[in-house]
Amino acid sequence: MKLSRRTLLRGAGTVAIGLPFLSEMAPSPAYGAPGDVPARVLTFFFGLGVPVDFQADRYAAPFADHLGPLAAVADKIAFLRGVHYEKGSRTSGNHDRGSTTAFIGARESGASIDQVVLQHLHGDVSPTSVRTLCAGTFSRQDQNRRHIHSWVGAGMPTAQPIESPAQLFDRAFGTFMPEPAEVDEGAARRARYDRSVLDAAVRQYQHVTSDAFGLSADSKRRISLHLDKVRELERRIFDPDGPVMRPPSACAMERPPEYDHPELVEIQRTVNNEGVRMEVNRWMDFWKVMVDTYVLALQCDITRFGNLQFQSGGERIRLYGDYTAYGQTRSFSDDTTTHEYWHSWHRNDRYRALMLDHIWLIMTALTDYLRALDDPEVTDANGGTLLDNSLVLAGTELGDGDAHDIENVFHLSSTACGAIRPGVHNLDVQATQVYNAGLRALGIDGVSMDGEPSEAGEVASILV
Amino acid sequence: MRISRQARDPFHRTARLALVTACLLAGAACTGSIGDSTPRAELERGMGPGETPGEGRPVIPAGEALDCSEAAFEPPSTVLPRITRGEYLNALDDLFGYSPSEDALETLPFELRAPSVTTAQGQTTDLFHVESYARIAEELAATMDGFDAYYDTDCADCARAFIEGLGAHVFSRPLRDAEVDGFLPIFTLVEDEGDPVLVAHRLVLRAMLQSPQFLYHLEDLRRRDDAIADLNPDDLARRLAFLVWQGPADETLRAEAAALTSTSAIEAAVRRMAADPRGERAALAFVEDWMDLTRLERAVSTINERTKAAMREETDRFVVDVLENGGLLDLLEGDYTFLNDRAAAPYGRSAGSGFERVDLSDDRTRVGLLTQPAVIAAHSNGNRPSVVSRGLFLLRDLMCRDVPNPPVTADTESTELPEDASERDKSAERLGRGACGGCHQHFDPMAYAFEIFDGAGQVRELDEHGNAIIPEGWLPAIRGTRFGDGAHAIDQPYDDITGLVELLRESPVVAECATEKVLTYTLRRRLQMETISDACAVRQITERAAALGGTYEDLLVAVATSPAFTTVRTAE
Repeated sequence: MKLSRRTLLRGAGTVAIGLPFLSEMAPSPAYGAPGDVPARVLTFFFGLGVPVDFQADRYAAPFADHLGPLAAVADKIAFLRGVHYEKGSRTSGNHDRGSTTAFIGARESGASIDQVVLQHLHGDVSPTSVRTLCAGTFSRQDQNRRHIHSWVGAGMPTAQPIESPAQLFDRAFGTFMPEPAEVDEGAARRARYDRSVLDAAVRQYQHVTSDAFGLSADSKRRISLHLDKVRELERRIFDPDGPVMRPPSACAMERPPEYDHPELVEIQRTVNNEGVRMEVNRWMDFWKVMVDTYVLALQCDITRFGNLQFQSGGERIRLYGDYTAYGQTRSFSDDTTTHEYWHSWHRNDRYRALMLDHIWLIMTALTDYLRALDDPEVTDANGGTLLDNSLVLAGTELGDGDAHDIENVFHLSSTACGAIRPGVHNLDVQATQVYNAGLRALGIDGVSMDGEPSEAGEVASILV
Repeated sequence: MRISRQARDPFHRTARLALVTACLLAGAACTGSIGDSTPRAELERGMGPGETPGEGRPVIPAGEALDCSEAAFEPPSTVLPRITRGEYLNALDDLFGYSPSEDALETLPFELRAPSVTTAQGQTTDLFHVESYARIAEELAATMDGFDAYYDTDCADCARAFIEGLGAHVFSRPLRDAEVDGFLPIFTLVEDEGDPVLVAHRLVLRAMLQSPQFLYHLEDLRRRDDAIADLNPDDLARRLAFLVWQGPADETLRAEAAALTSTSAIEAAVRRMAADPRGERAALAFVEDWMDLTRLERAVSTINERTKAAMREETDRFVVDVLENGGLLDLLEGDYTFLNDRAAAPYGRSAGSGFERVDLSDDRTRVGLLTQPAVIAAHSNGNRPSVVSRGLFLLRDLMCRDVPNPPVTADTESTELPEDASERDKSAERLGRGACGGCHQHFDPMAYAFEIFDGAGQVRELDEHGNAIIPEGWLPAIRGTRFGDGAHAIDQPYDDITGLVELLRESPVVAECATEKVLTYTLRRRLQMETISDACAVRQITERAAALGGTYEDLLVAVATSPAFTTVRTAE
């Protein structure tokens, strides 16, 4: 059977970068969401952190200056101050550890909260066509642990993060169907054969994950994840209009262009630490298309769980040019890399200013994402937006980049169906406790991030 | 069936570990030796349950030398490894003489090398894998005109006979009834459709090539009498095949699997297998992984692709030549190489269009693998080679050691040196700072010798700022480790790259590291060298290989006959 992507409009690669072509084509209202509101857990990671001095404070205007862009979603977010990955362990923090601890908490080899919820609610059966979707920008490709933020547990990454909007499109929306000219009895027979092949393979996966081989729980989990992808392939080929895939026709969209800017190619290939020069508007255009594609996948209920990243842990990039967003403009300098701004801000006033400008840029990126989720034209059955109804957790890897510590690590949460109080919460807790509170916000009891029926529990004060 | 993509899989590009280049990353928490009793940060070592120190197995007492006199190997519980991209392609070639089209391979991801040497930890299986497996299987099956060679066509239940025959070929072992049953519905469907049986045969092949028994290193771990048990014969044969050939067991090996019950039988099998051309393939794949040579693809933008290819071929030819009768440590020496006109350029030499052996005995700047342009360029951090990058490469991949995380008090920015200061001067400043020097003293000095090479592997007398090169340095002392005080008890000075390589060649630390890399590579799990089991396995394999003669083949024999290779932890 010759199969091709249903939604790909060949020749669409000339679409200009940054045009809001995706949002124009977004379905309305929210698609795929069942009569009740589905549980979604979406994590957002950004590299380098926000030193506690510059995090929102209960006693000051939370949206001043570098946090200003978040004012656009002020009543739908909660700042969580005083969140630690490993309380009291200042000497063990670094980019790697913080990056892999984000959304897990104290145990670096545990499962991230998106997977804890997914597994608890759905087991190994994927509720949507893509079980977990991970994407974003990450130039530090030499340090894979810095851009993977969704973990099944036992140190197994959930999925390969995708760094290209076009590939993200393929992953989310790519489907298969017979060429129209081939829809005849011969093609139908070949389809039956194709299905029989996958069915036979599925039976082997089921056999292997029985007790037939004595596999460990972790090994069975790995096989189950593979099987999930086999089933996804099966759905994409044979059941694109089925209840899991959702009607793709209403989600039709043009494939985002391949980005052939030399700078981006270099960013995607670089392995050195010198950082790549990049004009800030190009970088943010790229980001916006990534956000649009990712959010459309959520709106179409292609997925409900995953991670989106804006720059990896320990990011080194040299941005230059002026960027205007949310009524503010910042100028960027490529004197040195982003990492160095953070690393010297205590001792270097210029770097301090550059760091704050870059934090502002990160917040515009986060706000881009949150606003896209808050699209009032795309709502769930309860009338809430995806932002209203999802547990969205934003986090990073370090507390203070100058010290490389992992205390007071910036965290921000959505209100998760009104279960979490918006505003600023001054805490002094382990990240695990915050994530446990997230589980409670989703109505999940008896489960904790560290796998223990711990009394440490969650941070009740942030819950409504 | 496929999704075409214009870009290659992102993980391929993300999978490579680069070396850090600055004090701020290397850190300075070391205040003394970096012995085995100092656990590397778990995530520096890898990811997964195999990374939990000890995992319940006895660990070497802190600061004590390793005593293996009464050590019994205890295998850990492990995560099931998927076959790698290279193993997958070799299997298709070995089993069916088939190489996928470039188009079909486009979406098959490359492996993650994290943090050094590919292991099961960090492996993912995504839709891209599944899609590629499906498409390649379909292509392969379409090329098959008949399957008579795989079963006895004079059969009563030919469907079952076919599945059993082809399955044994693809899975390298007899199929269980439940497995056979899983493929039978294909025959029923094809018969109902009225198509010839060849259609069913092709469909079954496609299904087998997408099954976990083919795509994973699946072994029978059902509980036997004890928690620790010998591999069953088929699984042992399979392990041997992937160790020596990086591919599946062939009919001959499978036929003798049941007889692989003694050390001598295993040794004989390994030696027979090593003589097969597939052995060369596996050796090259290991060295590529060990030296992380795929980094060359994107290293040093001033080298064009054809020259890079020539540089790789030089190294491959050298590796094959040395390992034919030598050992892994012999790769570190050798006063010759193989050059053609392109590969000769970094040497400042001329050569013909074909590769020829070239004598380098008059050149003290070139000695063995580490000084070959492919290796130098792969670890040169772009066009700006640094002492830190090269030092960490030697520390991690030649000595299997690492440094702790940086302390928060380290001042990594302030310097009194001008920007055009030499790497040597910058290093001296680092070593002089208490905060940085504690760690940098363990790897910077090894890299001084490599200052004679620019990023492309060419010898230079001045660095990019015009500073004179000082190639002298020392191999730092290592004390208080599992080696006791007998290895690197004091700093050992060298005069130049040749002197350094001689020290590395004689180092027991490097010798055990080479074994650790091979064992890690073949077991696909990160070894826990803080445990007595893994540390003794490495030591005993190293010693046995040396006693056998010290060749690469001897090392394979020592690995294959080690309990670390032949035993498993069975299900609870």
